[in-house]
Amino acid sequence: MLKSIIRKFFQKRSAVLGLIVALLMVFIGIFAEQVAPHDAYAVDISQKLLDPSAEYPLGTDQLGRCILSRLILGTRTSLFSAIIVTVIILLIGVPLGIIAGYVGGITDNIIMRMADVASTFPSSLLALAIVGIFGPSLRNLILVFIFLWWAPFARMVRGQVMKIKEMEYVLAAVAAGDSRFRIIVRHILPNTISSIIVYATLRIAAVIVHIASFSFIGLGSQPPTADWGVMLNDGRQFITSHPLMLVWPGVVIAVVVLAFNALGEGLNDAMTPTSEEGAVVKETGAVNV
Amino acid sequence: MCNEEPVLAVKDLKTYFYCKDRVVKAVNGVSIDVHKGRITAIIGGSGSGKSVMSLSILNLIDKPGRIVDGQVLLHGRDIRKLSDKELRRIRGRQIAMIFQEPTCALNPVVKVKKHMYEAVHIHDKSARMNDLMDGFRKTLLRVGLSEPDRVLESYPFELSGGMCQRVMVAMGLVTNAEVLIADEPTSSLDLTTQAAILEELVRLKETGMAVILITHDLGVVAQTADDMYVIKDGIIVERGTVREVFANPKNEYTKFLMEPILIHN
Amino acid sequence: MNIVEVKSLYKSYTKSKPTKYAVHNVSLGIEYGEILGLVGESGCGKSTLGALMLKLIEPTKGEIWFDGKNITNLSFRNMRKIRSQMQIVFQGSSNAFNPYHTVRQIISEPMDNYTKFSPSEKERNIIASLESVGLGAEHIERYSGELSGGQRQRIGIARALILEPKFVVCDEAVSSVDYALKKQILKILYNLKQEKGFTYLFISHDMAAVNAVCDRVAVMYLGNLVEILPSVNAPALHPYTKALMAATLEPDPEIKKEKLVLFNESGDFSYPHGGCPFQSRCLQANEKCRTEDQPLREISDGHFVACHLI
Repeated sequence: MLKSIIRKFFQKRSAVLGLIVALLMVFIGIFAEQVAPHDAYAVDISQKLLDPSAEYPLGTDQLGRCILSRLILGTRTSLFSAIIVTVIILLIGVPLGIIAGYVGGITDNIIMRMADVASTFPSSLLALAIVGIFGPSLRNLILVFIFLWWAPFARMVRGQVMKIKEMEYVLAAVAAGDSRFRIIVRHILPNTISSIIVYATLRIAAVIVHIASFSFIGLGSQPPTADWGVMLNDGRQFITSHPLMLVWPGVVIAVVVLAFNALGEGLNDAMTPTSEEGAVVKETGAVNV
Repeated sequence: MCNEEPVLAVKDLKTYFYCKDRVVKAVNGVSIDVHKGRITAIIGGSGSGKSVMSLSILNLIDKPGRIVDGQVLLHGRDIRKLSDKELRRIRGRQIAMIFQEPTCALNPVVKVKKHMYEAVHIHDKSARMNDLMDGFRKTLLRVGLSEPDRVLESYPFELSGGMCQRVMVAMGLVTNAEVLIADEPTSSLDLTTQAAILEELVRLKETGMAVILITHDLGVVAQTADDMYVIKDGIIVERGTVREVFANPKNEYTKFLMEPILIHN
Repeated sequence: MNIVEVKSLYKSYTKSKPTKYAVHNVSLGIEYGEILGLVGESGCGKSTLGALMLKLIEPTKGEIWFDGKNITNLSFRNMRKIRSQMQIVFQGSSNAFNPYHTVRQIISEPMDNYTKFSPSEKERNIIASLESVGLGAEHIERYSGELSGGQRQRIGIARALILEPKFVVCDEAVSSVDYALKKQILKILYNLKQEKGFTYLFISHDMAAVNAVCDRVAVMYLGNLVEILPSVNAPALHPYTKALMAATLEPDPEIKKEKLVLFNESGDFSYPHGGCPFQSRCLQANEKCRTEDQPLREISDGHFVACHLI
């Protein structure tokens, strides 16, 4: 099964490309200091606002910092925070979704009402409120996003679980003497995992954009942090004189988001069973197709 | 069998499926004759190729399958040679089909009454929905749907599998095609409904329609069909009128099918 | 001695009044070692009754007894202790198996829960059970999606029988297979019963299959038991059973059954409240049928009918 999923995945060029870019980004994020040509925080006013050159491949910003180096280091803040947010909402949302879906009843009700509360907060207002109380920072932004976005995850998982619960093979598992735990782990979880993985991958892309947007308006990372959103904000004043300062971070964000979207779609297609082989086998009963 | 010219004649049909490492010869040289006003049954086990053959008649085979050889003669004209557009004019109008999987064959967002209307409209463009509703109600009752008005206003996804199957049969009944291909029309239905539907098919043949009935049930063949073909592994192993074949089965497989299931003492 | 018994069993899925019952006041016992057929139209509640007997779904009212013990109120955990003795074979639809499990995992499941076999012992048992249903070791790594309908049906049987349960519910177990396979599977089921003394509840709408293997036959209509026949050769007495028998198609073109009009086809088919469940379709229905409930009465030895007109 895994082999055929992997095979199907690698047949799609966009998916493979997305995977390569995503892995590349992660690699860059881990080894940022080694990869970057300059220190991303080194200020040198004499070098400010330079055009791209051999020494500064993407030019410098208004404080003379190498833009490429800042972008590279920005991978850490933007991409990794997105991954952290996604992993945490996964760890909260999936168990809650499974419990709500499988157990049902009052437990389901309680969890879903909590999810309702979390979903109805408009993100910007909540972000502003938190910032007003606790001060603007990337960490606070991460917490806000975790609070807001565990709920749709839980809801999706709950829906899947409720559908799977009605399948004959779950009934057969009960008849075979499975404990409830075993049913969840061996039957329900594997059949929800593909949706979870796809959803999480697509979510990473969305979180990257959100973090960049909020940092852009000053509610997230603060200067002088090397963050793509902050860089966009820096570039605003120079939009007419040095437009490249805006273009580079914008392009990077777009590329990373596209990559993760392509990856998510590729995973989705790979994990959806195709009917082609199945149809022939069913028609003829042939085992060795 | 009948001495008249057949309405539909399949000659030496071959449909193969091209898989990664081998070729599955689902239909491997099948020839059948279908006559007006008679029910021709095709009986075989699963994997025998009977469904593939019926889909091949209307060229409904998709990759990795392909019709490799053979002719499908409608009134002597080989419809395999027709363009897509011309073939589409034949489908539903001259040759109608009832599929095996009713829930897949009906568009879930189109109401039943519209489905039935389409089945008539494709043949008779002047037909108006309101005039036909009464007839639809009667037909739905005849196929065993006890609340025809409710069914007509429903969407297929609101109906059970058995009900969808009956709607499909009803669509087959209101169509005025010359040839009706019914692929396992009663397989998931109860005995009482099956009896009612088969009676309807008999009534249809009496109006002159040629019916191809694909089934795995010998009882259905014995009580409903006039001519029969036994298919196994993609080839016809026996043919004849139903009475001839039952009285004197020649092929081993046919004899096997006719043995009763005797397990008790 | 009854291995399974249900007493005044009701199952309803709706809470709104008037309550519609999937199973309505069913009392039925199955003796050790017998094959009891359960027939009826779709929606008559036979699958529900089968699942209720195994307590895979909870009854609304009534009692369920297994092997002499009242299991009606057993908890999930306590039921697990006895589930190895009671199994079910499903129809083999596409949902019958976890799409991510191989045949090996599917058949091992009951063994994992109830035995402490070593992996090699499990392997041997799996291969033996595959062979007993006409499959082989080459299928062990397959996924259910790679198998044909007939093969899946047999895997379902192998899974249910691997622990040699005393009681097996076969829910349309031969309905989606062709003739050749049907014979083979019925033979397998019957021989296993002869060898090991299994008891089966054989749910089917295929009268030929029922006549081939069953000892007694129970007939259901709209959730009610309307007749229990002591043998497959006993004459049908209840109007509904008679209609069912008349609708079976003989595989012999020389035998043409008279077309008997046995059903009242038009009319109100909504669930009747009070009286005989068959009242709206029965040709012989009278006032008494509509007002008085018809319990099962013993007409002759072991033959029960729920109709006052007999």
